[in-house]
Amino acid sequence: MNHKLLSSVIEVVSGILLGLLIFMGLVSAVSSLWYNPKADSNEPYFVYQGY
Amino acid sequence: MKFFDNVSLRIEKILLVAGLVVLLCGILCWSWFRRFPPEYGFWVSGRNDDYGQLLMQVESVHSSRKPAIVLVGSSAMREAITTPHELKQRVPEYDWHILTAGDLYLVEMAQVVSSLPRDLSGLLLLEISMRLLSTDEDTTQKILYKPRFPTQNWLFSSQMSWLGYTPGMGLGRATFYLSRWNWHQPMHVPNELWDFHQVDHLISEQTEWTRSLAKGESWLNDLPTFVQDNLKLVRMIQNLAPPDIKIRLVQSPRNPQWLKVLNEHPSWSIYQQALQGLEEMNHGRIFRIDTGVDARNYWDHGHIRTLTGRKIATENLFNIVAEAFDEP
Repeated sequence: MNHKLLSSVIEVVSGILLGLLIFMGLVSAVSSLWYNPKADSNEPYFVYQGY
Repeated sequence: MKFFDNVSLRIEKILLVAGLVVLLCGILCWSWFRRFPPEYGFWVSGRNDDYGQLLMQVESVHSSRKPAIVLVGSSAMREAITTPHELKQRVPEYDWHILTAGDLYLVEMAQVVSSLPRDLSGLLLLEISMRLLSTDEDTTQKILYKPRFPTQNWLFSSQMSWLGYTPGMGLGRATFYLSRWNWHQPMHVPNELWDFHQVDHLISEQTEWTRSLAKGESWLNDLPTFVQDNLKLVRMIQNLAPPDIKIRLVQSPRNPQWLKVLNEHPSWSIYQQALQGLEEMNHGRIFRIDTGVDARNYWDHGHIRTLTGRKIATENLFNIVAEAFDEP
């Protein structure tokens, strides 16, 4: 295998891994933007019974 | 190792590949999520997932030949009604839409109303309560950034900016899906049953009454500071409504025993003035859904729990609808 080909393979694999890492980071960042209704709710949504 | 000395990596190429991977993953993910439209009950993640259910209900509102009756409010309004089936059965000439969620705020009511089809006609009943008129600015702003109801369209965002709030980042839909996504079973889309009468499954506790009174007092304490901002939000909701729909305000059901304690609070008169101001602004009275429902029918300060109470409140709702349609 010549050096040029090896460089390209390493670049593509690193790019894919970096891309996946960035994507997962974005997903978890966006998920954390969800406002948890139970966190400071005024409503009486406590423990459910009878299921 | 000497072999690797001649390997040279180009950072721009790595970044380009990474960018393409992010884009591809985004497109794949989005198209996968869109395969399960909330309108058909997907993404309701549990028996008390009100916002999943609310999105499903909102997306199923379509204009038709029948006039629509749309009720937008909190869980207290929902618990006051016997069943949606009874509404449809007793008055089938209208399309009934009960759009409620626990603890729904004015800003969320605005989100819901701005999501209705623009050509919808009929009657829009909006809840009004002490809780809604005393909501502080920070809570409203927090909900804009971290929405519970996912839709924040352009019209809504521009009106909120006009009132001085900073609009959200437009990621409501993405956060809605991702927060319900099961990370352990990624291919499993939530599609759970939901309870219309949720207080029926709660245990009554002695401490609840003390909590209810404390809540009422805290709302009345906050009312003088925030009432004007919230009245502006009410006006904004009315502006966001479809142009051909008639709008009427309905007071949230309230336990008379709770009101009896709170009406001695110094801010009580401010609340009454606010209601009067709304009546003058709308050239019509604010309706009551809880007339004739006594304290025994309540679970707490505002949630009706008995069938008798619900029957009375539902009859009141029918009367409100008849009266509202008779008014010019």
